[in-house]
Amino acid sequence: MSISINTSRTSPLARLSFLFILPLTLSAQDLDLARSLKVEFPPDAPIAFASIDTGDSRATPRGGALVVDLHSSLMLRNVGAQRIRSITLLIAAQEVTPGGKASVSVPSLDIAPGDTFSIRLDLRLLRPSLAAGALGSGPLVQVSLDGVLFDSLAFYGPNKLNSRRTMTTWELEARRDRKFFAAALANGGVDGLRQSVLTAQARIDARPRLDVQVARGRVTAYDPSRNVEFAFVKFPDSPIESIRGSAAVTATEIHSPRLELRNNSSRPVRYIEMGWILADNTGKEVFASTVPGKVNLAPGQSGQVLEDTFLKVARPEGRPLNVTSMKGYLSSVEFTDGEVWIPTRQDLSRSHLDSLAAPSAEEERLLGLYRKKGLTALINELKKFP
Amino acid sequence: MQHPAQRQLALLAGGELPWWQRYPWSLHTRNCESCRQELEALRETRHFVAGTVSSLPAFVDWDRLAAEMRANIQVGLEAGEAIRPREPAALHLDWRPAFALTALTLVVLTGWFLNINRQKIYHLPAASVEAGDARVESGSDGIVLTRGGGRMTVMQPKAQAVSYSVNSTGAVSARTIDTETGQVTISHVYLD
Repeated sequence: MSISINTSRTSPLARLSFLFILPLTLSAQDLDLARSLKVEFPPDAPIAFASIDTGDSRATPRGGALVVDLHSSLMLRNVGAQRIRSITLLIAAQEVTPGGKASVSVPSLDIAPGDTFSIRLDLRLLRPSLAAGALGSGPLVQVSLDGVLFDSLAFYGPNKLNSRRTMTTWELEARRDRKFFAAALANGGVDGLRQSVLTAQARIDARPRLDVQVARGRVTAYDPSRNVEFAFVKFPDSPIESIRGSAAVTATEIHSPRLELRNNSSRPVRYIEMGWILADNTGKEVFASTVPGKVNLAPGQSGQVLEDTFLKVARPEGRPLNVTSMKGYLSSVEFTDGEVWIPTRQDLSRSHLDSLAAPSAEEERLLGLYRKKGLTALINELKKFP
Repeated sequence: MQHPAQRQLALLAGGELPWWQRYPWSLHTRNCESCRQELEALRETRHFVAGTVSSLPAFVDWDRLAAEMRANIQVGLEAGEAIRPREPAALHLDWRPAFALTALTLVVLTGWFLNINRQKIYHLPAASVEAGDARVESGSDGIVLTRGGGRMTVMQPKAQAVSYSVNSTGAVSARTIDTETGQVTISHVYLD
């Protein structure tokens, strides 16, 4: 198998693009698979492509199908004037899965102008036919930039995947959690920080898990259901008030959730995300999923969120949960100006949600740093950020 | 208590029993009144016969007579064995019916487990979304999108812990943290 890479500019005046062709020759079958990975960034993007490592990418016939393994590491450079905090790349494989798309994001970055960083892309594509021309003539995988978030919370990118909201939420959570551990260090010294880290790790380790299957569109429930009213966790400074909510619930399924909300803030809200906590007949609670909703609520306005969604839940060992009650909490709110609200750690701790909801990516990263390199490395990491 | 057969007593009386049988049956006849009497009777008969052999007339063909006597004794012993009351045979259980019964029980229990208990067990992927013929789910290699006969897997490093989640917009997410560099990578695969 031989792999070669060609780079060309498809439209130098309109956009700067990078095209990488990966011809994959399969000598065993005398089959010449000229499949390609195309990486294309806008010309005014604050990042530039530095290099690519395709590793052991290969194409393998398997029965009547073709399996293409693409293992690549993209080396990118910050060519903007601000420090980069997060980046999201959009991946499309229209030839293989029409309409489907994926993204790879890297949050919790701190890339200074001029610095380089890498993003790994590991994809496996499977097409059922080996017939000549079955994969078409276009690139097999297209990678494009969906967004970059800077340390000022400014955003760049086409935002097709709403990555601005997602990355802003991750960055706010990262700041919140770094501030928490920095406060533990400032108030309790090294021992105080160590205690906070160990407590957080124990809480994450004890967090109950649930397998969740979401079905979208109209789905027929098999079990007789009953209507269950939501209970809501209220946060003091939440811009949105949850008035009431309900869902049809069986022992293992939740469908058609309805929420009624009011915007108590002075700014219009366009999006909310609500976390669901389910409880079984013994009163044990477990985090199930988040329910996003586009709301477009003006200040003081009330509105409904209706989701034609069907959730099936089970414990990881396969036993049903026997859902008896539900609880909701606001995990994020996006205003029309792009700003995002998230609950504080005190909010989450008071209502014991920190023992149920998934920890932030930054909290997991900091705890991993402590486990791998120790307390001194964690303290140095906390000091890097204001 | 087990008693010697008539044949063994006769051989013991004549001193013709093999040595490894002679000792235990001699010991037995010392303690068993009926066998001792039988043995004594056989010895007396043997001595009687031995005593009369010397007075037999010359015309008697001794070899032929001995052969007839052996044949008669053999017939008598066999007839005695035939009319001897027998103890009821011990009950021997054959392994085959037991095996068949065990196999049948296993079949019944398996059928009960699969049919009666089936409604109580759900094995779901850690996170999955489906709509129509399209499906996104967490798998052993990463997040798998199946659509239009094709499949795309956004693979996750096997050496690192992966946490999967799902939201109702139709996306499955995977989060990994590189243990060496500490870099966080979050992959999403969308249904549409």
